[in-house]
Amino acid sequence: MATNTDQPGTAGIRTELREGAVGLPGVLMQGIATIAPSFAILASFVFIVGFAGIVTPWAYLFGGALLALQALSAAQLAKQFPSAGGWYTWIARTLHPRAGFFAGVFFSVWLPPVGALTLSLLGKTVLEPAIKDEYGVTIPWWIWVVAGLALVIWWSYAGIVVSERLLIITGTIEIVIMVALAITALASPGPGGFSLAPLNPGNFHLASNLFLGIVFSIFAFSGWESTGPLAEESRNPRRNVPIGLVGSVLILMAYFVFVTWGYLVGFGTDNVGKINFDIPFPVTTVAQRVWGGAWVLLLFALLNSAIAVSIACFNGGTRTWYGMGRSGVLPSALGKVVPSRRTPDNAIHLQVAVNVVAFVLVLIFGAEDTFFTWANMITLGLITMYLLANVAVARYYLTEARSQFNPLLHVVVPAIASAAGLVVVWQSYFSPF
Amino acid sequence: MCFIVLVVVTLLALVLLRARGREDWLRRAQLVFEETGGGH
Repeated sequence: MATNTDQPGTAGIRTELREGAVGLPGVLMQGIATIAPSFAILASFVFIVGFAGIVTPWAYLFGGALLALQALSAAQLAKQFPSAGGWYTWIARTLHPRAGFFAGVFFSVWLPPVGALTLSLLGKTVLEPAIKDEYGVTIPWWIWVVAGLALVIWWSYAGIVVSERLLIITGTIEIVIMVALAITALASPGPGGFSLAPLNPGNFHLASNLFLGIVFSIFAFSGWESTGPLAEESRNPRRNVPIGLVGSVLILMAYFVFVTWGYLVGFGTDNVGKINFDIPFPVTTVAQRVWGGAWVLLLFALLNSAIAVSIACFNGGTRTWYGMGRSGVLPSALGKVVPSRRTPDNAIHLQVAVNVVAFVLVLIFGAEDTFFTWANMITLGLITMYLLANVAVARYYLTEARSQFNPLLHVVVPAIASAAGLVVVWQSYFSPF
Repeated sequence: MCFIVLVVVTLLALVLLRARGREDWLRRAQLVFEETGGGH
């Protein structure tokens, strides 16, 4: 690794990763796949409908708008500081290295175990029981975990070009299936017929608590942050990484609004009040009604989603560790790159080990308990990271980059995003709603 | 609870790094990728 820090004002390092290998579609899909379009519906839809009812699409719209402000704030750092360290480097550079270290730790706990945890939850709660019900065949849930992880690990070692190409394929497949289901549901509505009621703001009063629906819809969007660590492998990172951060949120916002409208109409706008955790997953019910035996495409979409998010998290996690190893805060071995494939193999080895540990935890504590305990922890970690980044944006543009200071982008947007983050923490962990 | 443990462990790691005098990373953590223009 070559550094040229002796030259005043440059503060640059050359990368050993495959520079310029990922275009804008790959950068966007990195964020989109980590949000996991179909898996996020599985994890959030029933919960959000419980609060927002018929106007559930609006909860996703408002939640996405708030997250878009947070992404816009982070983009102010991304366009200045391209680095595989991503949030670690942005915050270290503009606030304090030790604050950056916190962001690096949160990323290290968040992205690396996603593959094992997501595939375990999907295999145990959806794939194994659904395939048994449909075909009378029992495929043990852990087979999905082992097979899925084996593929993802193989692609990760193969290099960023291969893994990003497969990320685009798997991510596109899941979105196409989920959108196709929503379109079919709109064409073949349930009780209540085709309806624009879910999109009508005049129906806000029908929601039991739209505000909480918005608060919890924000969880569905987590993942857009993983775009940052691809900076050194993306073309024109000062342009593409900021677009990836904000664009992935905006695209998913449109996606969530459309598909949740479709699923509510498909389930029946007269039946929305019946959606709760005591009935089968309503999107499955819709798929079985409108697609018949082909409803298993929904399972395929979910499996694709789990694979795609695993690929994206392998890329994001290993590049963050590469950045931290290169800077010397983690063992320098993590900053080593294999010249032939230009992949940070030691960081990938470590990520494989973390997935093995996560799988063992799943075997001990169960897929659901392990997944939701981890999700709870990283939610607080991510919001802490957002707050640090927002302070860093204001500090950087009010001091070092004063000539580029824009009060809207560098004070108002970070302030609103921070307030939204604090409200989420309050409502989720402290408010006795 | 897990989050609090994570924060405490992170703080301990920072204290350990400082106690061992391993502070060079503070400067290197601020370095950003110098775009070479290759592949653009």
